[in-house]
Amino acid sequence: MNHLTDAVLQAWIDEELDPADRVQVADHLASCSACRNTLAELRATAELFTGALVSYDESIMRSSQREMSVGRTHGSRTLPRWVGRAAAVTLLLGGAAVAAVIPGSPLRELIRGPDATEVTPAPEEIAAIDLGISSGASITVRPLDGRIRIRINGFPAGTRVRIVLINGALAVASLPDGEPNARFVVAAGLLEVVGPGSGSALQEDVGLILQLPRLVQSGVVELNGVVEARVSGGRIVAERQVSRLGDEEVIIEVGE
Amino acid sequence: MDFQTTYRDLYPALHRFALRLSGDPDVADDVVQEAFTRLLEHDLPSDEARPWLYVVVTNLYRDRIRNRERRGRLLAAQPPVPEVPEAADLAVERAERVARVRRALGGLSERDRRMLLMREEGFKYAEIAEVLGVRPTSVGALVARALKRFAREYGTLDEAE
Repeated sequence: MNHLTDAVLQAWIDEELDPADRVQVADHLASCSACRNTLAELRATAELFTGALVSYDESIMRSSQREMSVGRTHGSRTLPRWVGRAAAVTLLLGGAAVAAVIPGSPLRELIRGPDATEVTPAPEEIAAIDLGISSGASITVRPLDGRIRIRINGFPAGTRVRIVLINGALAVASLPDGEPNARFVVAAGLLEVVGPGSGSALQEDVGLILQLPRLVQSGVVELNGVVEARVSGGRIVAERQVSRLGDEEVIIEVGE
Repeated sequence: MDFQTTYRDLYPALHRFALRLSGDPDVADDVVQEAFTRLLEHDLPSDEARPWLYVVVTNLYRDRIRNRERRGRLLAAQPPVPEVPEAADLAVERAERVARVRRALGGLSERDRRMLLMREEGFKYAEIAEVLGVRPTSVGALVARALKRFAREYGTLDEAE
């Protein structure tokens, strides 16, 4: 008796056999204990792989939740990158590009996708604002998977970032790896991040990522009290272009 | 193509795929975002968007590895371990579990890793074959062999520990 190959048995497990082959394989399995044993081994191997991945995913998620807790109770360590992704925001995906389509709007020139492709009018498009603070520093506001990602790149060492949350329970922030001196202050409605007091600037290609709370209806991005961009009603609107560089304070205020 | 629907439907699985592939949450974020941004530039029918996105994510990830020469670090990536002692045993256990899976995945060839992860996301053999450039009739044998290899790596690690 010719036994079934691993390829055929794997295809059986994965339901990749056509109906005629499936009947033949079923007939063979009914009468061949060796192939049934092989099938059981292959199935167990596949289940081992699935189980390992599920365990992997769960471990990553629990580590994230755990680190969120650590970050909130210890104010002198860098918040992990993965903190609170599960708690990230639903907000802007659908209408974020609306502001970009206003004819003559300076925002059109500020819109930058990863490929620097101009965004055309459509409600489902992803939009980003690059405020162009200087040639080496920028703030980018980008809707991402129901979240708002605000990336603050290229600011010098000592840049102070302050996030005040009016309407939301959770916010997370992460600094690039290798920023051991970053300080975090977490209190009700307030999460304050202070960069390293000396040393190199924040890595431009990593930046600071802020994820704002769910149910956020509106928000503003400010530099030293001046509103630079607004997040409102599914739109991202840059108020003006700025060209400053220094120890800027960035406030992202979120509320009704 | 309804981009919003595609985005909403495919993002979670695509991100999971990218995270499993890279072991780096930031890399997963970036390559998936980049893939969807590129999708905007292509008017693909919705049934073609899914395999296309997985190919793009895979290629973007591969480019990153090549460009930054950090493959070893990514494959060995471990979740950040909390610095506080409380519940440290659980945190360490989680970190070890993740590292173990990553090491076992790292023992596979890039092709096999992509193949198994795509299979895990429910891709059919024909789709996997197209992405990997192999014959559809070969996928069953390749999957079985790769799964055994993973189990060996995973089991060996288990015995070693």
